[in-house]
Amino acid sequence: MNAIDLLLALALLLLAGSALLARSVQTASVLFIAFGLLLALVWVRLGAPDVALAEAAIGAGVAGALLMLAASEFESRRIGGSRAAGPRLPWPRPQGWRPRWALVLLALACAAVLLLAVLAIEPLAGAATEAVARNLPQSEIAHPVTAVLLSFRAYDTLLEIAVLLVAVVAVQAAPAPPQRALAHDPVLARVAAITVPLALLVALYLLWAGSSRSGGAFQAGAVLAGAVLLARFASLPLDPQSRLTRPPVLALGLALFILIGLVAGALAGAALGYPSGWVKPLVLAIEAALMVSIGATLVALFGGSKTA
Amino acid sequence: MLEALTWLLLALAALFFSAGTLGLLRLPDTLSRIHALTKADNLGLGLAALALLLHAESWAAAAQIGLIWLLALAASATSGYLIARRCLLESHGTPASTLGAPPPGAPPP
Repeated sequence: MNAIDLLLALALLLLAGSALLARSVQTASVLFIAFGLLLALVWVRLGAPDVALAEAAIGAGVAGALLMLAASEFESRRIGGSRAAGPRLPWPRPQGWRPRWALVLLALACAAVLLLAVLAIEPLAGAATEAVARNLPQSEIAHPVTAVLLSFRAYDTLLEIAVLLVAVVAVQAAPAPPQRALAHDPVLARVAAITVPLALLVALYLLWAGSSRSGGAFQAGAVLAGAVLLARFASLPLDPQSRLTRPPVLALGLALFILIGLVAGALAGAALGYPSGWVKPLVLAIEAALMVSIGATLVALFGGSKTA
Repeated sequence: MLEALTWLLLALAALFFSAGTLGLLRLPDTLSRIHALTKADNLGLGLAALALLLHAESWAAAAQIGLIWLLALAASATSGYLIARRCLLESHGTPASTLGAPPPGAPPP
């Protein structure tokens, strides 16, 4: 813990507080993105580059863009009122503000329970790290984070993907927002024509790197989604038919994960296990399918708006 | 010698970043703010990248730093342009709201 860490932690708290207390949804969204970027830096300082990549790509990037989109949607539906200020949040209340004691008590009780739960956790003192390091050679995966995600705790990852699929099905079942025509912009189109291929390359690199160092399907999927969305906003003909967000693509990752988990698991003698010698190709295949599905899911969350 | 040059470059970078931030906080309208921010920050980032280049371990690392700077440059210039364009489009509907509005108390042109 040195001065930089202390400064980062203080800035993080400050940003979190100002995002909560912001007067408009737009301001809060921008502060949330700044918060996510700073949080990614904190993860880097903690020696967790995988989490930092995920936080920057998904937490700050995708979630931030979704919040901004929702804020602008919210604003465009507003009738009257001052446009510049944006939608007002019910906080802080300028007048007639009385503390709601029941809510205050409930919040304090929740905080107390959480504190007790945290204090009750037995300190692991690196036991998990040791266990991972001990079993890493056996897993045939070079990167410990990937080994945990796709070998030691593959069940958790499988359920996460299932949750993502359920979420996107729910989003697609809701009525689509009105499609807004995007004006063609020559500058954006030119910059995107350079950036989108680079982003696709980065996505593939992150996927490939995941087997030996930081990277993986989640980060690669987020970058893929960013590339597709940038192409869409710049009217580039990448995925013009929105084929990426069709149900077979969305379900591909989960389906392949279950299939390989059952077939390879039957050969290996345990569900979600891999027969020895086949670990790297199978994990790469699962991760590739997951990348496509995660990217498609994130694109689908932005709604089906197409270019004019 | 190399150390001194690095510190000089980093100090200059910090100066430009501070100037950009000061512009963002103090300038009266959106367009001048974007101008201050993108111009000063790009220069500051370039100076910081140059300082890091002096300490790059290999040519590959140096090329990565250069590439990162170029990408950040393109991203910042494009987003600055997009914000400015949106600002212009909005100002057609609402005259003198944020775009080019003179600071309070300024004499009319």
